[in-house]
Amino acid sequence: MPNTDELIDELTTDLRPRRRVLPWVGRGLLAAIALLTFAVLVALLGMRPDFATGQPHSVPLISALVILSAGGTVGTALTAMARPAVGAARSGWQWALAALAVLPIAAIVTAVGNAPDRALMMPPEGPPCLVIGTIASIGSIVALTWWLRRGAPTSAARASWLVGITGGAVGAVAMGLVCPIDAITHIGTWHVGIIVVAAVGSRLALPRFLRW
Amino acid sequence: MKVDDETLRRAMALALNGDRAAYRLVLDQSRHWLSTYYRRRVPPQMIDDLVQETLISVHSKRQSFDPSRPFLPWLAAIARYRWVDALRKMQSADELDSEGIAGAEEESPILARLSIGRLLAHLPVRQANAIVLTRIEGHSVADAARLCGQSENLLKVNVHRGLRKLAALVESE
Repeated sequence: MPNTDELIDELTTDLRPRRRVLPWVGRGLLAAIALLTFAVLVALLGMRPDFATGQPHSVPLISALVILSAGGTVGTALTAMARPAVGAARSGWQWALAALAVLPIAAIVTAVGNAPDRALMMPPEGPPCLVIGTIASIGSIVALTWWLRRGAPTSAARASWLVGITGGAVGAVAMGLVCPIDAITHIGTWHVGIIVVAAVGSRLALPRFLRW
Repeated sequence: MKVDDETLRRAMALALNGDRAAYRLVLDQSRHWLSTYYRRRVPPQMIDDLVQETLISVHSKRQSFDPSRPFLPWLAAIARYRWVDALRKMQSADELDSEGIAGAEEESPILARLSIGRLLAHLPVRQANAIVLTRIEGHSVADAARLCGQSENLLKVNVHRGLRKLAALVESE
């Protein structure tokens, strides 16, 4: 390595104007990819009849909104990670996950005393939702990773978790638009499972792309 | 000459638009700040390399600076990231060393100057003792094992796990 004076000379000479990393651009990108994902899945599989007719059933609607809200909060925290700063408080995403946990908890509580609903927690109903929803999350995960690489996330592991959770939320909401099952036992396990699978997969695969 | 954070913030904002004089001021001041920062965290022979690596990171990630926010917290975040990276490299060196941490015995104690007292309090006593004896006080593995009543293999495992946990602790703060 050159001495530090030489290095500073080199870096100064190399200076060119550079476009700043703006979190709202990342959020806009996420919103665009999410809308595209919803549109593609609806075009391929068809929207739930109650949603399509503007008369949504309450459980899938509330579930989709909870997942959307959690995904949006985590995505906001994630895009803020592109601009590091010691002392910045960014713990909102943890509360969003706590809110999201309502769905699997409700699924378990409901399943305890309700045999027909409990049956919907078991295959064959769930795996197609899990697979299709996970595939639907890939676009958001790739886009967020690509965008985040321009920034400087100081924890590759945490950034990977948050990318996966956000992408998984997009996939889960997309699945919620097309899946005809109303039961919370199904949504709270298999649709939330999409987020879990996307998060774990991202944690395993993405850190190498997010280190700098 | 030491300049305040507000001056650095403005200079960095100008640098993002290509102002080289402002950028030189930022890098010169960052260099001094980083030297002080690392002096309390790494052995003297590592400081220059770490300062240079951090300056390169500042350069390559300058687009992540937000001109509406203070400069030093941004610089501190990048410095901490590079420090964690250095801790991880020490840990990797342990893994690659077929002699375990014994290879480090010939070096000056690698963590001798780390200001990790506060962080060590978060580790289990066995891991903290293993790190203090081998990496701060510079005992051999055999001596350290005898002093803390652990087998040599267990001591190596505790050093390895302790270093990994330290890196995670620094990163999560």
